[in-house]
Amino acid sequence: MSNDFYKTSILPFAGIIIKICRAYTNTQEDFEDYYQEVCLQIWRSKDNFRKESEWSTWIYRISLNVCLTLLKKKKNNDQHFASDSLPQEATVDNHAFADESINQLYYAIRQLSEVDRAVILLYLEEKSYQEIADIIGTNPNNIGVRIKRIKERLKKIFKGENI
Amino acid sequence: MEKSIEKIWKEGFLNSDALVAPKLNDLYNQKSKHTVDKLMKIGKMNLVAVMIGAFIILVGTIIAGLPFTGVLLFLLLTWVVIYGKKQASRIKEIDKSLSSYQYIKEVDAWVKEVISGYTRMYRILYPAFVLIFTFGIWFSSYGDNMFREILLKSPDLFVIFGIPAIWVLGIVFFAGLMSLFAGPIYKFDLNLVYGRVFNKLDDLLADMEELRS
Repeated sequence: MSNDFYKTSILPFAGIIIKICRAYTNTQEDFEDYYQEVCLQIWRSKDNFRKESEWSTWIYRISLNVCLTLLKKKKNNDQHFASDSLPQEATVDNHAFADESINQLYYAIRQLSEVDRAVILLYLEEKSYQEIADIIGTNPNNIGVRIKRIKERLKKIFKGENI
Repeated sequence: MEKSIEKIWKEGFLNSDALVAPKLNDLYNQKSKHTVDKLMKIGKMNLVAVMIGAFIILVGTIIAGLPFTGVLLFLLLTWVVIYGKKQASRIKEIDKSLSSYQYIKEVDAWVKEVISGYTRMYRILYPAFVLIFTFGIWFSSYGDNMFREILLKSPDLFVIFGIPAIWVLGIVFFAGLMSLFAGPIYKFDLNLVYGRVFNKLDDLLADMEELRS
């Protein structure tokens, strides 16, 4: 990755990467690893970008793919070394942002399934149903219903957490 | 819940400090490793493809009744593979404990050396391919029949070993051109196979140099 490439093609979109990586990680350390891996993957695959979509959409797609892959790897590792893993509560970083409400929202989002997290993040980023469907590779007809269900689930989590 | 999640999301990121990108660590080491791994992977695949091609040519020419031509072409392609394998083993000797800048610099020097070696090699190989293949066909029964008919129609043609001299001169001239332009032809071929990874290597090196200056 050229320094220029990072400055011009990744850094202006760092917000997207940060928002997504936060939803798939519990600790600052994991978050930084995921962020770095996403940047590396964007650089690796930049030649595959065919300009059929917006660059930002490409970044969403790669960020989600990388996060889902890393999470899967992490789960496999945790299964192999179950006895070594720390209790979840001990590592959860709920103070990533200054705004307490957003930290709580992230806490709730992390309770969702991996794909539901992707859907709600894209919805919150005001992506259209078609764009969400394109990015996660699903049928746009089901997106609306799915979002409604996820929002209800989030409400329940919020209530359960006494927010 | 008092606020909607949409509102929380919007307001949560209003403050520009909320989204500060973390510092990238060790990224250049990872990129160097990735680029060199990719280069080696393509190189390995390329050598396997050449070897498979060599066997196909050998079998094909034997079936076509041109075993001598086939064996010579097979030997030439085997030379390409042996040289490539020898060069590939040299990259493993580069000290991996070097800084990523020095490591990638060494790799770049190795790439340039290999390209220069192959270019010298192809100055001989390209014309050799042309001459072996063409003379192989001309000296076979197919060529015999063809030249017999030509000489029957034009008996005054000057011949060398039973082949019209003008044909011999033509193919020698073409082989000479292949040798002369071996560099650009090889470069074109090289770019088709390794273009992307070479660009990444150049980018990486330029970037590291920029950061050092």
